[in-house]
Order: sequence, then C-alpha cells, then structure tokens
Amino acid sequence: MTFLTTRSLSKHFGGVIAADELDIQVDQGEIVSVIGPNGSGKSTLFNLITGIYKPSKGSIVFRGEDITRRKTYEIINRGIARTFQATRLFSQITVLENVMTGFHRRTGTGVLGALIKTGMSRREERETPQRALEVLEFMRLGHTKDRPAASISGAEQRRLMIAIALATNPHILLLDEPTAGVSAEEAKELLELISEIQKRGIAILLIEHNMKVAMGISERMIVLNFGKKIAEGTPQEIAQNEVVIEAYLGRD
Amino acid sequence: MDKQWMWYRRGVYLALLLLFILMPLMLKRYHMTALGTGLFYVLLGLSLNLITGFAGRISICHGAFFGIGAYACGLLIVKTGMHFWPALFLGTVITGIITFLVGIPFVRTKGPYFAIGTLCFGAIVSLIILNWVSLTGGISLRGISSPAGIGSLTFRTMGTYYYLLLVVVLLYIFVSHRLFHSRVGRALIAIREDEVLAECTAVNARNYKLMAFTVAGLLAGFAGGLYAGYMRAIDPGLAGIGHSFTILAMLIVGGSGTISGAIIGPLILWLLPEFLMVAADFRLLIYGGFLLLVIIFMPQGITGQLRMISPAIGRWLP
Amino acid sequence: MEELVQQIANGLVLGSTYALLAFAVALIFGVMYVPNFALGSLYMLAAYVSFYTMDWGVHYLFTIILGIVIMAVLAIIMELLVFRPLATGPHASGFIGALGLFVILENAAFVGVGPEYRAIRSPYVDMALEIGTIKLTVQLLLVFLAGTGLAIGAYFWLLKTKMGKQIRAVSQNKEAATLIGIDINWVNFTAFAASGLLAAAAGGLVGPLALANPAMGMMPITKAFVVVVLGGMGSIPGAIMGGFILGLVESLGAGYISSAYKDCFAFGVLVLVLMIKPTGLLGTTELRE
Repeated sequence: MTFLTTRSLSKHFGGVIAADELDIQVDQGEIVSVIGPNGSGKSTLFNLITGIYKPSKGSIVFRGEDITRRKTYEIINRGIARTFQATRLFSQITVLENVMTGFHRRTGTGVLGALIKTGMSRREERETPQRALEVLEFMRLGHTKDRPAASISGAEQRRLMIAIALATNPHILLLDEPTAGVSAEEAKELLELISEIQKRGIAILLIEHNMKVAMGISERMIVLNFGKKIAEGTPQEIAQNEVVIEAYLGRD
Repeated sequence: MDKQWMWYRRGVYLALLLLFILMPLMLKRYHMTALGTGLFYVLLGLSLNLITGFAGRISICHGAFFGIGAYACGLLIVKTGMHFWPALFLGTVITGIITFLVGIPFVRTKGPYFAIGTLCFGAIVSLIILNWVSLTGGISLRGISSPAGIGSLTFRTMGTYYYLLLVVVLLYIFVSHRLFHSRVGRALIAIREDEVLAECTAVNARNYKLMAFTVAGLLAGFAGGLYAGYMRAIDPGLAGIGHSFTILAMLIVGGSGTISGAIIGPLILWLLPEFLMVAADFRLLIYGGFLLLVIIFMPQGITGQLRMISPAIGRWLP
Repeated sequence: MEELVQQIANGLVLGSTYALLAFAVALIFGVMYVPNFALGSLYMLAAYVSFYTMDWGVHYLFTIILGIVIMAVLAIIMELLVFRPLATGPHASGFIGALGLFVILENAAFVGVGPEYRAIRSPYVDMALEIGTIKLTVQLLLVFLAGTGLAIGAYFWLLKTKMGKQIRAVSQNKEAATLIGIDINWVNFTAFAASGLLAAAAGGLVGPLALANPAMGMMPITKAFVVVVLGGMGSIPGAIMGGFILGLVESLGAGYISSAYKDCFAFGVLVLVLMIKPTGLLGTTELRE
C-alpha cells in the first residue's frame, strides 16, 4: 500500500501556478527531501498536503484514504504533522505547555471531563506533562521547559516546533527548512535528531534549501522548479542530473 | 510551584473570600448595593473571558446575552406567571440556544469579522428589545418577582442575594479554572496564539470557538436572569452596545485571559466610580479612556502587566 | 407613486452619506487592516462644528468646509497618537483602540455639550424645488450631489493621483510597497486625513437633516462597517455602491415594512451574509496570515 501519494496536485492563485501537476510519493519510514530554488512550490506542497491550501486540481491519498478535501485538523488527526518555514509557536506560554498542546491528538478529555474530574481527565492531566517532557528531552530542550516560548533562542525555537509536531505522534513528519537560520553546528545536531526520528519509524518529508544537507540525510530526493517536479532520485543521481544543475545555476 | 506555597496561596484566597463574606457587616447599604452590582460585572467578566480571554476572539455583544437572559427570565415571570427559579433555568437555556445559533456562522469568520459580526448582533438585539414594545414593554420591564426562597432563606433582601451572587461567582471561577487547566483550555489558548498552528495539533478550531462562545453566552444569560430577579425591573440598555463595551473594557483593563483579571477589572472599574460618586455620564468616558491607555501602554491589562514586571507577584494572579 | 419617488430620493440621499462613511472605513482598512470605529465620532463632531460655528454667523457651506479641515486634522492626530503605536501589535488592538476613541469622543460630547438634540439651521432646508408634482428640498439635493460628487471625486483621486496609487499599493501588499520605496507613514497619514475628510463631509451634510446629538455617529458607522464587509473589505467601489444600496433598502424598508426596525436591515443582512460567506461577499477564501 502506498503511504503518502499525491497525483496531479496543482494550485493556482489567479494567474500564478504555484504547484503544477505534482506526483509525489513517500513510502513508510523513508526520508525524502524536496529541494528547489526559491518559489519553486515546496512550501505550497506542504500547505496542500496539510489542508491549508485547497488544491485547484489533483488528489492526495494517505494510507489508503483520500484526504484531498479534508480540513487541516482532520489531516493532522490522521497522522501527518508539520513544521513551518518561518518559526511559529504559541509564544505566550511555556515551552512545556507548547508541547502539551501538541498532545491534543493523543488525548480525549472534553468539556465535561474538564469540569468534573473523570478518571480519564485525571490520568491525562497527570501523564501529559510527563510525556511532553520526554519529547522535550528527546529534542534536547528539557532545560527550557518552564520558560516562555518567546524567550528561548532561535535554534531552540526551531527544535520546539519539531517537538510540538512530534507530540502529535505522527506517521509522517513534514519539516519545512528545519535548519534555516541556525548555525552549522546546530544544523548538525538537528540532522542527528531527524535521523533519530526516522529510527522510530516516522517517515520524513523534508524541505531543505541546503543541497549538501539534503543529500547527506535523504534516501531519495525530489526536485521542484516553478511548481513542477523536474527530477527525482537518489542523491547521487540528482547530483549528476543536468536539468537540476541548470535550474540552480540558471537562478544565479 | 511547590505544594506548600500552593496551600499558602489557598489560605490567602480563603481569607479574601472571608472578607467578602463579612462585607455586609462592614459596609453601609449604599456601598453594599454597589458591591452587589459589581459582582454581576465580575460574572460578566469571567464569562466573557472564556471567548475573548482564553480563545482570543473579541466579542462586543456580551451585554446582549446578558440582556437576553434577563428579558427571557423576566418575561417568563411577568407574562406567564412562572416562578423565578424555573424561569431562570429556562431563560438561560434560551440564551444558550440563541448564542449557539448565532455562533455557528461567527466562528467560521476570520480577521475582524467576528468582532464586527458581534457588534451588529448586539445592535439588533437592543433594537428589538427596545422596539418590540408589546412583548418587552419598551423602555423598561417591571414587576419581576424575586426568587422564591429555598427552605428558610428568602431572597427579597439585597443581603441574601449578595451571598447567592458570591456562590455564583465562585461557581464561575471554578468553571474557568477547570477549563483553563485542561486539554480544552490548552486548545483554546492555542487557538488564541496561532489558530493555524493550533489546527496543526489536530484542534478543530471552529468547534472549540463555538463551545467557548456558547458557554460564555450561557453564563452571561444566567447572570442576566439573576439580575432580573435582583433588580425586579430591567431595561433595554442592558443589551446595548455601550454596556457590551463596558464589559469588554472591564475585562481588558483587568487583564484579558486571566481569571484574576476578569475579577479585578470589573471590580475596580465598577466600584471606583461608585465610591467616588462619579456621575453616570462620566463613567463611559472614563472607561473609554482607561481602555485606550491600557491597550496602548499595557495591552496585557493590570494582571498581565504585574505578571510581566514580577513573576513573584504573577504567581498570585492566576 | 409620489410616495415611492420620495422614498427613493430619501434613500439616495441617505445612501450618499453611507457611501462617504463606507469609503472612509474602507480606506483605512485597506492601509492598516483596522476597522476604524472612531470615524463615527468625526462624523458626529463635524455636525457639531456646523451647529456651533453657524451660531457665530458662518454660512452653512463654510461650516462644512471648516468641519472637514478640523476632522482631517483630528484624524491625523488619531493616527499618530493611537493607531501608529498599535500597528505593531496584534490586529485586534487597533480595533479596540478605535472603540476606545469612539467611546471617549461620544461621551466627551455628552458631557461637554449635553445630550439634547440640536437643529442645524441650514438655509437650504426650507428651500424646495418643484419638478412636476414632486417637491425636493434643496438640502436633500445638496447632500446627494455633494456626497456623490465627493465620493466619485475621491475615487478618481485614488485612481489617478500619485498618492492615491501609493495608497492602493499599500492596501494590496504592504511589504512589496515598502520594497519599492513607498513611505508607509505618509500613506497612512494621507489615508487618515482623507477618511477624516469624508466622514466629516458626511456629518456636515447630514447634520441639518438629522438632529445633531452626541450619539448620532454610532448607527451610521456600524452600518458603514456592514457596507464595507458586504462590499469586500478593501474595495472602494464596493463600499460606495453598497452605501447607496443600503440607503435605498433602508428608506424603502422604513416606508413599506417598518420604520422602527429600519436600523435592523443592515445588521440583519450582515449576519445573514456571514452565515453564508464568512469572509464577506467579495472577500477571498484563503487564509489571510
């Protein structure tokens, strides 16, 4: 069974074609990166998959279910999680509370449970902070747990975004330029973490601007340009692909 | 926060509660009346806090739900001879249904449309109450009976009503606190901070906003019914934009999003002008002025600002 | 038949004032993404300017011009003191600031000049033109012609002049506009001044027809919001046309359905529209971040 597949996925904004007949496939447990010059449609792809944009055309199938017309929260509920290119966090609450919010998918206490402390609500309120802390420690953020999210460093914030996404216990994680704006050393640490995440069975679809980074970590790469897929293959194949080289050189 | 300090804090709150319980023995009648009405504004602040504070959506029609609750309860009593408590219950249910129905389209809106929509809804409600004279009596509705006693307690005096209000305030605080410290509260706050990101944690933003809006309206309606029994006569001004604005100002000045802010804001903004004998005309002027100053210089309100200045003080202001 | 024509005439007159107010709201909303409720106060204050300066012997038409100048200045002061500081914060702050300003000004007027309704004795109220069997008060004609003329004129200003184009550029894409060197501060400045002008014109023109009182701004500005939401929050032609349509609907509705509830039409339509299309009639359906 295919894991995540898009077919002829397209997005038009008036006259602008942001995504053009994209056929993308990710298999369970893979790390695939999506690369391409600026404006080639990478983030658009993520927005389409996660329901933030409605496709103009095409379909998205995830674990056998057509999720093309589904709303964002429904898609996340089915096990797709994502981060954003520009850091987005719940800035006024603590780091721990940020990750606890991510546990929304895995818990079920409603209004009634909140008002009268049912068994489930008591258990969840006890467990959620513990499990959130585990996620934080995995992402090497345990020491920041009680600080407001807005007060931690840029690199820590980017790891926090990933932590929130991980908290939803996804089958596949969409990472939008996770190493953007961080130092080389921090990038290396992030890549180790991403590798660890894959080892836990979570597939990863990664947008990466840095070719070297992408080639270092991916099993497979997809290259976009002007919203179209222009190449696909292993990092070695992509490195030698003429169309790809031209697309990048041409942009200089 | 260590357990010992938590108990210490609870002790302090209990002492504050005791203070409020002893108020009728310490204050003169005029001041007690003011405090009583002030407690209604605390109820309104706490309920508005659910949608505007927790979920972060400005609602300028909270007075309308208060008014609908008051009129629903009052009309049931005056027109059908129902007793107070059943009328209060039914009036609250009616308000809840109306809030829910109105909320359905509103929670699908984006940007300023929610606030504008509530503004218009509030305008419609006060216009209807004012103009449907045959139903509502136009400029005022009189002759509402006071609540029937429970056992040996009667509710004809302001004194007993005051204690009833204190109990209801505690109830609203309880509801707010429980919701805040729960998965539901976390979802609402996520929606307030970044709705799209919240959706990315599988939060159905529309449903949560609708829930918060409806509960807020229900609680406002209940307070309205209580008000009808308290004042025995009500007027359309309760549902007016001026009143809704006042409630919003009280919450924001106090500190939107915090339970202590929802209590402190209304108490200060209501009691200060009362005790200083400020004329009614000046009050809205003062409220507008305070709101403007706060939103420019202290957008987190009094409690928010105190928290920012000193986390030590902040621990006392949940 | 005469009734109908009279209603339509009233509707068009009313509509022209709504068009001016809606234009003003849409203008500020375009550049700052803030629904500026305080314009309702400028509307009201302009009527009072007419009232008081006429007492000193100034001719009515000049009082309108005076009102326009004063309110344009007041609008600029508002922008500098309130809206500019709030622009850097969350969007809701601007809205709350506008509400606060409105309440302050409305109640300052209550306290300052009292709640009594004041009649503004424009010389044109008593003059009338006879066209066939229809009698048209010159004041009505004045409001319609001046209001419509001003709205259309301002629209052309927006389309053709350099400043107008800059304002439109900022409304469409603030970041791109700064990148090509447009001075956002000047644009905001001008947009506010223009809005103050339009709101003041509406207030000054309508003054003699409605009695001036401190609360006179609340309903018109709320309706202007409705018009702008229905016409599409940044669209000026939508705002102008919507203003006229609302005026007609209200006037005909007041005549044939109910006079007491005429204010409800606008709000009822808005709530209904929001039920069907939560982003407004001409709004986009994508997320605006």
